Amino acid sequence: MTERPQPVFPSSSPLSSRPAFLYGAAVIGAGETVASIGEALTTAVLAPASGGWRLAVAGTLPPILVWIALRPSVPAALGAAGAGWWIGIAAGCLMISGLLLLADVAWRCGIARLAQSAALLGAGLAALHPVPAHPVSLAALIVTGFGLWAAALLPDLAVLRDRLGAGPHRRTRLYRALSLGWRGSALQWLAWERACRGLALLGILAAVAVLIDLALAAALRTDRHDTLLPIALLVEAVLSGAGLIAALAVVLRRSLGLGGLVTGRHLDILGRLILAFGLAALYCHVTEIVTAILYGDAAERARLTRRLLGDEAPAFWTFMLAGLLPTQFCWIPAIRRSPAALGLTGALVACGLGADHVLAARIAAAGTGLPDRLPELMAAGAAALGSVGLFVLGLLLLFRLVPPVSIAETRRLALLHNPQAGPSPPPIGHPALRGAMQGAMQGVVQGAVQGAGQEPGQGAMPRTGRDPSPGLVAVFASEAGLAEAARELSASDAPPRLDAFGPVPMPEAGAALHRDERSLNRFALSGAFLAAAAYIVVRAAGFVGELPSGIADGLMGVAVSAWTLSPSLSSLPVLPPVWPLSWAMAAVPALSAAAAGGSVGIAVALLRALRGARTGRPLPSDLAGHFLLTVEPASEPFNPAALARRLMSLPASAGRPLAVYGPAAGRPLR
Amino acid sequence: MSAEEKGGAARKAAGAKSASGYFLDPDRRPAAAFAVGIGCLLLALHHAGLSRLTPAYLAAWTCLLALPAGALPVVIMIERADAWRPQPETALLETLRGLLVLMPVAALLALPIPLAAPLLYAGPGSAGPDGPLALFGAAPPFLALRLGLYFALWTGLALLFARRGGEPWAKAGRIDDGRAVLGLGLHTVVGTLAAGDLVMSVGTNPALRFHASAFGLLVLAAWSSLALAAAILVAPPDVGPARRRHDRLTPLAVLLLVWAGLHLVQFLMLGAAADPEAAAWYRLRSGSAGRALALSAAAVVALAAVLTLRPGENRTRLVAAFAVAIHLAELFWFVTPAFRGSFRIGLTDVLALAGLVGLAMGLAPVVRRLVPGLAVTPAWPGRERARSGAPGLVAGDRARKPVVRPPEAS
Repeated sequence: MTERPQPVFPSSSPLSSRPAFLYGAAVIGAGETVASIGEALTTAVLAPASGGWRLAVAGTLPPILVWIALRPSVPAALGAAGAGWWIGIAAGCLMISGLLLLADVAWRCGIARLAQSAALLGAGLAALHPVPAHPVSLAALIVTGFGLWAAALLPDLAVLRDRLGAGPHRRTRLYRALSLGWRGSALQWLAWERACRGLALLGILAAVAVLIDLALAAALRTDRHDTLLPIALLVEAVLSGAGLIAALAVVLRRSLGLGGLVTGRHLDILGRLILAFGLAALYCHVTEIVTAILYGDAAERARLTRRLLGDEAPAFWTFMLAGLLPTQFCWIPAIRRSPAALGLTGALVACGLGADHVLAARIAAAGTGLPDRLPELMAAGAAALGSVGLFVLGLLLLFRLVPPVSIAETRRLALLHNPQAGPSPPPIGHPALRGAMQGAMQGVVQGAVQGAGQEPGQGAMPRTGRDPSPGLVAVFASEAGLAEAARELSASDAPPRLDAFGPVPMPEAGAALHRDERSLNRFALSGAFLAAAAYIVVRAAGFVGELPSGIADGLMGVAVSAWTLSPSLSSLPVLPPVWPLSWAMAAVPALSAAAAGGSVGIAVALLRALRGARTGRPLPSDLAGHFLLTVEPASEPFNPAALARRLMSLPASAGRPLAVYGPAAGRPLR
Repeated sequence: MSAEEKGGAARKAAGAKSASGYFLDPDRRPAAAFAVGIGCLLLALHHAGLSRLTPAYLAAWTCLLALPAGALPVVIMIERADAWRPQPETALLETLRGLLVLMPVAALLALPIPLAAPLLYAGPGSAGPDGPLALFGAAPPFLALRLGLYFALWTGLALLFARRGGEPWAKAGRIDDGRAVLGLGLHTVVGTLAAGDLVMSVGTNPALRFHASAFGLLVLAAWSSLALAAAILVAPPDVGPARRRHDRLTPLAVLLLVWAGLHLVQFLMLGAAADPEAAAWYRLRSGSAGRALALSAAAVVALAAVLTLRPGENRTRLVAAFAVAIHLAELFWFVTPAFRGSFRIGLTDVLALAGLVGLAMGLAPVVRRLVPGLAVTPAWPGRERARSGAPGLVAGDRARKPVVRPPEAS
């Protein structure tokens, strides 16, 4: 067992003697460093596909083919139940990922990418079914899920790009294009963090909206009017998401050997999450039953009897026994700490909760003759298995393209908990580094200064004869040192132009450099407002168009396309072709539209911020993974040697760099 | 000696002959408040009569109950959140713990409710859509029995989670996940049943009542939001650099959003069902005052959400003050229209609320002496230095007053 990590408190905190962790094991392996994390996770992506991976891909194909074959014969109501199940999983995963991100939970990195990928795939799979929710709500779920997944990936794609180097390989070009010029500057990290937080918030909004929409759809079409239904769907969504993430995390850490990154503590926390939300789901259903008994009328009590003992009993008891009962196993610590037991419990819970959506579909079909013959039920079961196969295939392919665990966030966690996790000093005089530096500094790297007690200018490299560029690059062991140095250089009368680069988010360095990024909020709010307004306009046009002598005949096409359900769903006997025209009912899709619009706004703002921060020289890839401070002239005269001496004279614990690269000392450049 | 105690001593030295001096004396304040409370209730009785006072009393009592019952889950959640944060919340948490002392006070002040049950709830013999168990349970003895059970459990939980106040964290032990889940679960179950029994079932005309299974959660969310907002108004600010201070607006905004979301969801679900009972229930409450309350609530929630982008102490207190006002009005909105045919805040309601506040202020010191486990000592940083007057005391520390006076002081 790894040693329990010690707390990391600010030295000024009066509580610094208190343990940071109440119980449990470490959230990251003790030996994990910035370099080892990058190595392990890029290797997981870039290494040739293993036999196990090929076998797994082959294993998913038969159920997918069966699903394709049987899809037309699946009863529409059960298809809608499948859509509800996938929506629940997607919304749950998105909410877990988003809440952990918004709460700034440091250990989230072990499971966040899994959750985001599962959310994206789940939402995509739901779209392949007859969807019982409003199309705008589902579209918002997909847009926000994709936005968060893609934004969170950016720094990792840059790590993959740097790992592949500058070769002509197709993958290199792909990662170069996808990383959008990411360089890891302080401004880019700032924009990235804000964008991720904004997208997480909007993702949660979209997830909540789509679940409320599902509940409203059930209430409109059926006699299920329980006011706890939206809450129950929301709780079950998180529960199914946690169960699925637990199962996937267990498989991932075993298959890729990522036990140091997805630790036992992660599994323990997921077990506790499953238990807590299992209790919450139990509360919802028990309260529904108790309310019907205490306050309900005869019809409500009859419906309750049908559910407990009548034709809905199989689905109800499947839900209770497979979806909720296993959650209570997590009271037992041994089950939470056993990867196999927790993975099985999570998978069972995620599957069992699908029964509640089946229950809703059967209720929806009450009195309309839902076919329940065995062949059709078997076809539905095979289709469900096929959609699971498609989900697994999607995950297998995704994790051949992107790291299954966030590199940037895991590095940050390692730097927080492992004292030796920082980047190692760069090798001075290494030919590769020298060449890279020469390229980076446009051929003017003339000297390298290493460590304390060594004068600037020692080991100066020969001139290359090209035009000199008078910049300095200082390498630091930590962000704190970089920030100290930046503050020191900024304090001079004629401060040079500074920029910071690093392998993890650098809020302290950003503050020292006075970097700020406020356009994201503006773009997000504008996007949300415009999308909601556009939706309401279309909605109003649809309303006017339905008047007997409609004045919006020209808009009818738009209105109908916006409000009519998908053709496959409209064919269901239990679903109306058009939603009721009520302002209150429009509030939920309008919220979804706002979430989608806000996500697009954040994406635009992030792209803009990335482009704005891309100016300046590219840094050598050999220094990727280090904390770098670039110093460039902002005014004349600019004396790099004096600046280098000033940096090297800083105390070792307060900003002295590991190395400084730049022009020869002692000769100011004018 | 705190400023309050200094003031009291000065007034004593001066003889405290005036009426205001008498009532402002800290030692006499509980008795004075109790007398004022009784006076307000008698005035309300004289003004409106018993049948009109009882709904106002019930609504005002739910406002009082909201403080300890709403503070309980927030205390548990903040304790759990502190387990993951390098710097725990202190002053706000202790203020919330201080509110827990009102649980036995609310229990004592609930005594008139079973006695007035025939004026508040439909009797067992009345016809209506409710199930037989609810009608059977509305009989005064059964209602009293259930109230006793609720408050026994709630007081136990309050004792469990308030006891840790004032002790060093490591010494007091931790509220671990299991205890937190059990505490939250038990509170949610008790709160749901109590909300159904006392608020949702209100009204002597069964045709004007409705039932919704999310109503318990809705009331619990309102209570918690009210308690947190009240604590934010009372609690002193955290000390230290601005970036170390906890943002108190975001938790309040989240609670307000949850509360508003539950209201909206309940309205939409019942609207989708086209339930005639629910329609009648909402119609009673959707007069001009009801609509103004709904719009004001939406504005406060929107304001809280927007201000999370630029939080600040004064902005947080502003939102908290609005939230307290909205929730107090909402708790009257739940109860009184069932008896008056529409929602409006009248003199009787104000007098009932003032009476309950006075009675609570009078009873709280007695309860604190009888139940010492609830006598929470504030434990925010700088408290010890503030008491001893040691060097290094900052101005903010000196200006602070204990939220709940320590037992040794009383």
